[in-house]
Amino acid sequence: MIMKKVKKYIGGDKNQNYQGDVSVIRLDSIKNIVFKPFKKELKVALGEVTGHSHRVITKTPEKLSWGQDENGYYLKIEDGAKASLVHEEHETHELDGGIYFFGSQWEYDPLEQFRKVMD
Amino acid sequence: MIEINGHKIDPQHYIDKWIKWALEPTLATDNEVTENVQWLYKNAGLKKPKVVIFREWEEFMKYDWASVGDSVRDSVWTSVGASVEAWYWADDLAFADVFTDTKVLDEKKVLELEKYKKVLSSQRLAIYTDDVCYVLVAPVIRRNEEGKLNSESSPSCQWGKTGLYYLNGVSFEKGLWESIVNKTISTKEAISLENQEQKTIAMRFVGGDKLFCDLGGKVRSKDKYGELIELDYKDVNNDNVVYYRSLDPSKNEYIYLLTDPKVETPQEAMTKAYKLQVFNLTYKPSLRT
Repeated sequence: MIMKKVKKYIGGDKNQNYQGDVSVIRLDSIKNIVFKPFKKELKVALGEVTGHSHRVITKTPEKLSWGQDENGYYLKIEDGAKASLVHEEHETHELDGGIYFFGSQWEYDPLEQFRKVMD
Repeated sequence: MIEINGHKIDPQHYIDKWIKWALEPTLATDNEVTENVQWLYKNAGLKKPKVVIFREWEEFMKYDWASVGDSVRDSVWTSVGASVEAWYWADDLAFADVFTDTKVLDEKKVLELEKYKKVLSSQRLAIYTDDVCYVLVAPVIRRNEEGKLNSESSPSCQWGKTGLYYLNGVSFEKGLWESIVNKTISTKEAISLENQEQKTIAMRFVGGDKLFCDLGGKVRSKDKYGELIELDYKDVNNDNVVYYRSLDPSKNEYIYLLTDPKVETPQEAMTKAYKLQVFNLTYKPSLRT
């Protein structure tokens, strides 16, 4: 069993949360994203070394849809539906109706500006 | 979207599909590889060749190619190629796929396409001669989320037990790759690498903590989100290397993130690290777990 060490940082923008190195940003609206039907789960970040992933799960997949662009993943949850962002080493984030963006952390690369950070 | 034959086509869908296909080949048995090559020769009106199959990269590279040099020069590739060149590469197959979906191709061509896909999916490199075809089978490919060849645990291109090693798209000799991923490389060794791409990646693996201890540095600025640590060492752009440092709440230990030397505060560093400027936001976490 993996023990989850948790420390919360409370304050700031209530629409801006972080699970490890993944951002969970609640958006008012989003344009130019093609949303597809949600299936069993959505992996929004995967650690190659640990194999652990930040993923969205839900009991009502028919009420969720997802999209993606070069910045990260987008999730649309219908009003009244719920989903959870889970990870083996981090506390679960409960998500209710709305539009969310999940972004990985990008590290500066002097050769090519920024690269995505791997767990 | 483009329109062909009355059908709307999203080019990106086909680009993604065929890159994925080309890099995730079906593992084929020796019999399947042989059958595929023999079909290729038969289709070109040539006699059945002997098929030599390599399942290890190193065996293929160390093979006595000088002994087959003459026949390679007399390769019948030109005749084989004439019949297959329109189909041979994955990008051509991708075009064929578009023309299949838009009903430009007839059923016979579609069936032929399927056969060429099988040939291609079973081999990565092939040398076609009159009598013999030398085939290096397709490897297992490992890439990161950005699509670059990358693996910290095995070769990024792996045939059997051998392969080619990459980190974030940069090629490494096996020994150097091992010392980097196992973090046995010293700071001195890392900063002495002549290849700038390799040096940048090696320093990333050495990590901010060790670099801070070995190279020295100072806290340039701090706020409630962390600190910016400036090292007494210049990067490829002649800027002092700067790390963002903060406590990881899930592990209760410091994390270091290489950051743009031009940022002035830890908050600005994290805004850039999470690309929050895309949404006109600055880094102000409500909850970190």
